[in-house]
Amino acid sequence: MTAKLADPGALARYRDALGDLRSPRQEVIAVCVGTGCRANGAIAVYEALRAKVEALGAVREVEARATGCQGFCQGGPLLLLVPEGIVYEHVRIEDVSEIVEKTVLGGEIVERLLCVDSATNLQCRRDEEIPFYRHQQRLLLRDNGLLDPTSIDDYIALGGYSALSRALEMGPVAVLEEVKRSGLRGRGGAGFPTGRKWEACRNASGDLKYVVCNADEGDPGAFMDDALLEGNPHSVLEGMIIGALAMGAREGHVYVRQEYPVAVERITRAISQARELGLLGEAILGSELYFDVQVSRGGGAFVCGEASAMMASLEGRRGVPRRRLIHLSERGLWGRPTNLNNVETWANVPHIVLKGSGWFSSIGTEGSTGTKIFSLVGKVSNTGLVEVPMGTTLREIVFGAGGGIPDGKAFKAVQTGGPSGGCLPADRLDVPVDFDTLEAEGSMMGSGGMIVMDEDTCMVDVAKYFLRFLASESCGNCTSCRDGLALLHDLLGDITEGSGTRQTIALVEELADTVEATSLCALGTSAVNPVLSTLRYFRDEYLAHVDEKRCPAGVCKALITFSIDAERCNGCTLCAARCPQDAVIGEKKQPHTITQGLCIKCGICRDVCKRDAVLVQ
Amino acid sequence: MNVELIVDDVQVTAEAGESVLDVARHAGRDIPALCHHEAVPTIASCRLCLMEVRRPGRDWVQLTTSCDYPVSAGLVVVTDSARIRKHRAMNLELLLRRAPDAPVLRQLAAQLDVTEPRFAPVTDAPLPDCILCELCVRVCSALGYNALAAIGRGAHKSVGPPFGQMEAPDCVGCGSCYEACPTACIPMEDTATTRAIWGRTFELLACERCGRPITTEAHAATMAAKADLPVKSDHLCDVCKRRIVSERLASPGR
Repeated sequence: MTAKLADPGALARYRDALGDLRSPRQEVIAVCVGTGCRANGAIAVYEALRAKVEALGAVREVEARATGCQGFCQGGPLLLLVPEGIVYEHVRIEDVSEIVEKTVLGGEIVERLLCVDSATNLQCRRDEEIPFYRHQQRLLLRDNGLLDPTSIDDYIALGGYSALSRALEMGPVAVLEEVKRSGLRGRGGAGFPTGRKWEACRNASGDLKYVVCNADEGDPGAFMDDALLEGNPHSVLEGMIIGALAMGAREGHVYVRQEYPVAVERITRAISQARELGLLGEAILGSELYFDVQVSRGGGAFVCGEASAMMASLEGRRGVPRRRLIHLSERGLWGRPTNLNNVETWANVPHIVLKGSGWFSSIGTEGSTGTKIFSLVGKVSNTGLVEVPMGTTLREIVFGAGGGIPDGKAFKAVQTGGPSGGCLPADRLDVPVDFDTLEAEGSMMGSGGMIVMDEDTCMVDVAKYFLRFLASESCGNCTSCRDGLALLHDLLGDITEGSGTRQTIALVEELADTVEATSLCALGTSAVNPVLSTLRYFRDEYLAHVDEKRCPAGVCKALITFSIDAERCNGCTLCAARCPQDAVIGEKKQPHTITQGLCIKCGICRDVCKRDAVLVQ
Repeated sequence: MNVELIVDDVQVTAEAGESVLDVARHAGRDIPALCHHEAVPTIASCRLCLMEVRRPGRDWVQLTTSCDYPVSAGLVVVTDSARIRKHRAMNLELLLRRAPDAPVLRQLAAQLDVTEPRFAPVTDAPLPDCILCELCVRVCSALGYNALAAIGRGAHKSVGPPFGQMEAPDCVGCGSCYEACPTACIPMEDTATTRAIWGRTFELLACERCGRPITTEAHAATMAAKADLPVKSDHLCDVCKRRIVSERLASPGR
């Protein structure tokens, strides 16, 4: 067991000693084993690479390192060669030998593994040339590609816990002031100024105070908190320790969802490593600070991301929100002053302490400082985690880092803020992404989900999809949310199935109004956003469904028919062979037809047709 | 400590910490609230007790449930308005899907002009007519039995024995949940000697003087244990107890 670090000086000496072992010049091949890459076989690639590199032995000292999510999920499995900054994408086990022989030993680049800039058609040799990374400012995510998340030494070697040393030197009041001046706002959804929240908790009376990290990331398609917790758990932990110092908290909890087993394992390991070095527990770095953290696993209820429901869950009760007439900062967990911030908020704290509030507030906009990580998914060429300064426009994110819409399709909408966010149309693409602007546009920042939709997306269907999620995740306490959302989902179902009328739309609006006005927590009050924002920006599409019984995007099965354009069809029989219903009939080399009574509108014929002869109307 | 506030243009005095609902009711307002009971913690589930409140120094009027909103000095409360009625009526419509024939809801529907149902009724609820107010759960918990729980989420939420069990192991058959239920949806069947509730059948304890059932044997035993008293051999109902007292008072030897 390592000896505890007695004071900040000991930490600095410990880091210096590591520096000899981990020189920044040391060659490292960092294999991303974040969730997306892992699903694509990155672990096997890493194992193969490690075996190959170890076999090199003394010939060449190279380290194969498994890292957390490097962000560029579209290119996975990803390989980052340090210090050169070469990025290889879509790496397979078969490529490993070539990479070691050519690049590691020969200094040559394996060109076919390089990312191609679709705009210029040029190969990108280094990470900063890749459009996906070029449009980003990766304040929080950069280290994900550099460190082994299971090693506290890696984190310390990269300067980790020096913000804690600095914070101890500054003292609680100065740290609090620094966070307040930085303008940092909560990254979990509401965007409340973090410093003000901390101050309220600090000023609250009580000996025992808690800090809680909200890692119950429940938005479908969002994984930035998972990436931070898996890829750089110590940065979150260091933020929490600094927060505990500023607020006088003695206990911390990380509430992380059970469905993130790797994140649970990484943060649990990080906590025990920090304890061993005396960065948690009694007399942290020789100071008077006592602070310890424990991990609680959530059962996967979306509503437990809501602060009061999370407190109930942490206390072992049913996760149901309660009215908060007294702030959690005064009466939270077990009735004691509690400060809750989400993963990304905590991860910002060490940067602010180390580099100062002036530096931090110079990034982003006046009202929304710093960077924000978005999980960019849906119909976009480059999916993954995008970290950009606040105030970056949606266009820069979707078309810059995201590389636009694939397959030559047109952009239709982007949904920001998770399931209860709103859908913004093309004419809102130049909107700067910050807390206040998004809200004014009828959407929200949320925790940073961003789902891109192309012309083939039916907005009524999208609203129905999100309503289905939210209705099933309602805790069931309030009549308006519990039954209102389920009914809204059903009414949207009527519209997509062709039985809706203008009265249905009016009823949707009337019901949504009550759900929004009379539900207790933010799940209910914001759940109508997907309906209201699509009604606001895509009303014509709703009207086409009810007036003309037509789905303009060709999605709603009850309202579309598939047919074959006889002039285009050359009778290749591909569609007939693939139709699960045997609905396509026709002789070889003769135009085919679809038997409407048999067709289940699955779209396979359209997908397989090489001549675009299948029409959807 | 008392605070002064205004309810519908009239100044009233209330005790700090009291809910706006209680204060408005004391002031004679008829406010519907189906999930509220003064003996148990509030969960503000039915969303019918809506009111408009404005706090001093604020220029906006907030629509809020009143059962979980405590009074404060200078609060301006409006108990009836078009906005309140509109949202109250919609939430009532939603509740009516669950208990279309419950008298308490029918009466409110008449008051709020909710006539033709616009939404299809709920037909697959495990406990028909239940409006999920959890009064049964809360009453049982307040009595210390914790035999019932809320189960599931969203529109599939239900109440009953914990974890969806067929019977409630901790139930003593006291019937408090049955009494508390606003829509009388909890099935409880008494015969001369037994009571069936929540999947269990309990023996009833009879008054040894008049023979009427008092409560279940399990309930009486639990009460005795709680009070640290021996289980009595003689059991009298409230009526007979009063009779005995009055008989003794009237007896000439006294």
